[in-house]
Amino acid sequence: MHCNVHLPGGHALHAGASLGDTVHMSVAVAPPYALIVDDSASARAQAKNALEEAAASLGLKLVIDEAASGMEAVRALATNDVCLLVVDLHMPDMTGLEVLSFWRSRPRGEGREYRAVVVSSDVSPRDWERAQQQGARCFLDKPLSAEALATALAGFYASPVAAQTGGTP
Amino acid sequence: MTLDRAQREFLAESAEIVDHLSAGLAEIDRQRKSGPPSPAKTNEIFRYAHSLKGLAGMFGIDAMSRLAHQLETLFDGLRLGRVVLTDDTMELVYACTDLFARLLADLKDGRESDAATVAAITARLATASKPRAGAQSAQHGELRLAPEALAALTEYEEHRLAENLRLLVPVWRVHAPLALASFETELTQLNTVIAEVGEIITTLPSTDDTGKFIIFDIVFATSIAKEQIAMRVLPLGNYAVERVDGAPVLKRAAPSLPLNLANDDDIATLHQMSDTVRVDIRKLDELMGIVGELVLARGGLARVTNELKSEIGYQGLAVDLHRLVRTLERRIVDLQTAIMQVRMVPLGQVFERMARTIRRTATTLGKEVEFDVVGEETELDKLIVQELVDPLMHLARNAIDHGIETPELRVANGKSPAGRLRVVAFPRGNHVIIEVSDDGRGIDEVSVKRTALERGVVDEEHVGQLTRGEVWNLIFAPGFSTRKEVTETSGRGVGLDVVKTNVSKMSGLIDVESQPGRGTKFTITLPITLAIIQAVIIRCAARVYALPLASVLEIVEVQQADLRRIEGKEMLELRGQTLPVLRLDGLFHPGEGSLSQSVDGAVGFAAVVGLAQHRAALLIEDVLGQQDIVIKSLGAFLGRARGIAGATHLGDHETILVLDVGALVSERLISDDGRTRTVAA
Repeated sequence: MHCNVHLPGGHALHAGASLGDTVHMSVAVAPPYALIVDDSASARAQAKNALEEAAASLGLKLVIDEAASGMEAVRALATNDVCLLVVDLHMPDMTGLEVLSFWRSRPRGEGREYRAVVVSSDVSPRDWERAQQQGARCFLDKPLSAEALATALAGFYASPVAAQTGGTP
Repeated sequence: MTLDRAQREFLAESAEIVDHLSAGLAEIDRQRKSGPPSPAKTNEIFRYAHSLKGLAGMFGIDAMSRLAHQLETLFDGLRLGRVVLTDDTMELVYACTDLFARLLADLKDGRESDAATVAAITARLATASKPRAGAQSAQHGELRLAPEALAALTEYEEHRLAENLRLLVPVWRVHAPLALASFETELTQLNTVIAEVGEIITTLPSTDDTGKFIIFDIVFATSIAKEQIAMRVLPLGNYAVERVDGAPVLKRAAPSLPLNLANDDDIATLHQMSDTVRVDIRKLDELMGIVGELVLARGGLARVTNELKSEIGYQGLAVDLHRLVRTLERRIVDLQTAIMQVRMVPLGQVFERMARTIRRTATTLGKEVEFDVVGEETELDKLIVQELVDPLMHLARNAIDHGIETPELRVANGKSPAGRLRVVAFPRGNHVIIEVSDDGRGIDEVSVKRTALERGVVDEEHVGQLTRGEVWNLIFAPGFSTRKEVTETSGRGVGLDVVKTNVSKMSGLIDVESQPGRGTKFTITLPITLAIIQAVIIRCAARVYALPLASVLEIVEVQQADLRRIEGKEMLELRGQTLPVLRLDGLFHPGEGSLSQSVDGAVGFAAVVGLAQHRAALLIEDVLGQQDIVIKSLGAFLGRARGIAGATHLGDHETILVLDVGALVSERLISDDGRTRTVAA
């Protein structure tokens, strides 16, 4: 496999056999903004660790923020250009689908990659289908592991064509 | 077994969820006695089970994770109408909750859990979760909702839509563009007024083109009439309310933007919008000012009426006038209340922010904190709530940094590893009281005294004479900090004196109480609004002044015999307490100490005034009455006159000065000997 990959934030990644060792930063831009949405503090802490680890293993730089409710998520999405959204479906004030829908309604920067991961310990096939329609590219079980996230992230940024045409995660 | 930090966090969060779970179940059990339990509650319990499952899974506690999974499945069935809640199921669910509590206790104490019981309950839950025969997924009919809105519905939301339509409950949509700066408060208010009369099905946020608003489409089901919905929503803003089910009604051009953004050519929209307007808070201030003037005019009218009554007796025109004045009075009070109501916002928002700060601070400092809130629905003037954020954050950080001990130290002292931080808010008369208390180490008197001496806040001579209350109050002194090193969280070179200054700016009082080893409690007393205050009109040193009622604790008659000189300072003996005496003539006319000699020997009054724990007795000649006043600034030149908060009009065009009790008391206490000499209540 040999392809040119666009990382969020405009970093160009020349991916060979291994993703980690050939990262080449072509432009100095602010690292992409990632948002973790979950009403459980422990779950957020765990997701953050996993995401940090996964990003580090891919040589990806991310700014990671957290939101503890749908409203906090809306605030964060409205004030930052969130490129990576990790969201739980069940929350007290809004559902993950509503957050995803809002995220999709935001204006998007050109050449940037926008990806969402739905994290839930249980999602019905119907709701997962809806989440995909709302732009979720990947569904991960709780507890979130760094390995699973790393695989998902590598998938995101290694297949821009599939992502643009709405391929399956 | 010693638990690591993550495990303690897991236990704390799980225990909290189990508490919510059992409270929610009790509520459902109560509700089902008189009909079907509320879908919102059932869904809430589903979410608790879901969170618990996630947590248990995260920490590898499989038995608990499986149990929670079964409970989640059961409640998923219940909320989707596939399973019916029977008495047996209710029993089972209670048993399950008890089992969660026991599993957590076992985990905490390092005991082996009874696997057989867990397996048994898990299996019974699985049986109870079997969908009943004939249960089918509901389908809702045509709804006039945007495809985006329909696409974002979860299965549960879709089911609730269908259920409401099946029961012929009309479904509505409120379209609310909320300002980016404050949408949280507005959305919470909107959700609250709607949830009171209906069931909210979905809240869908979307982006508007200007970037200044976030549009929320709230879809809800309610049986109340459109006018009633509009009446509830109207005070919050000009939002379009539309029925989205049933036969299409004549579609009207729904205003989607607030008035100030409407184009001139948007005449149809403008017409629609004349029902409601969004109002800038400054306009409300202006309105409140006008009401203030009305209050004054009423005062004047009342005075003229009284004069007329004393001249011609209570008859003829005097009676008519008297009645009219009374009616006017009532209407003005109504008006004042109505405007005040618009300005009121619940404290919940601030408490939520506090919770976030607490979590962050606790994590940074390696402490465990349980945060309790009581009275988040308590309402205060929006401006006061804004000003309250910093002081409350500071107190919270302070409590975690200086008050609550590390988990190890707490356990060593026989306390639970997690400290408890509690915020309680409640109204009392025209005030709101907010208590921030922790169960930490309390204030160390010796350390406070030592620091106060080092910083020159108090001198050697007086430090020994300070009572405990006085020592605690030293922590409010400027530049005081009991920590030697500056910590990242609460030691940014500013101390509690800033909190005190901020609270005083809002005409509030702050008090501190502490029990060494047991904890500290800060009590903030705030007026509900600053727009209009109640004042006692007094005569003192041959002049008339207004004394804000908020700072007056009591007014007593004094005899010369009650006044003592102790160490050359004049003191008032009151029910066994000694209060320093304040004489306005002494403060405002130094050198002319003879002006109020009439008080000496004769009977006069003393107003006991308080600033936090500092109390003083203000000698006054006469009490003329009580009145609502609006404080006007004295302007740039006179604005800094010590002891004067501003000026106000009395009804008879007389302008009088309003005393600044806080400044007067500190002045007196400092002027004593150039050092802070505090006198505790």
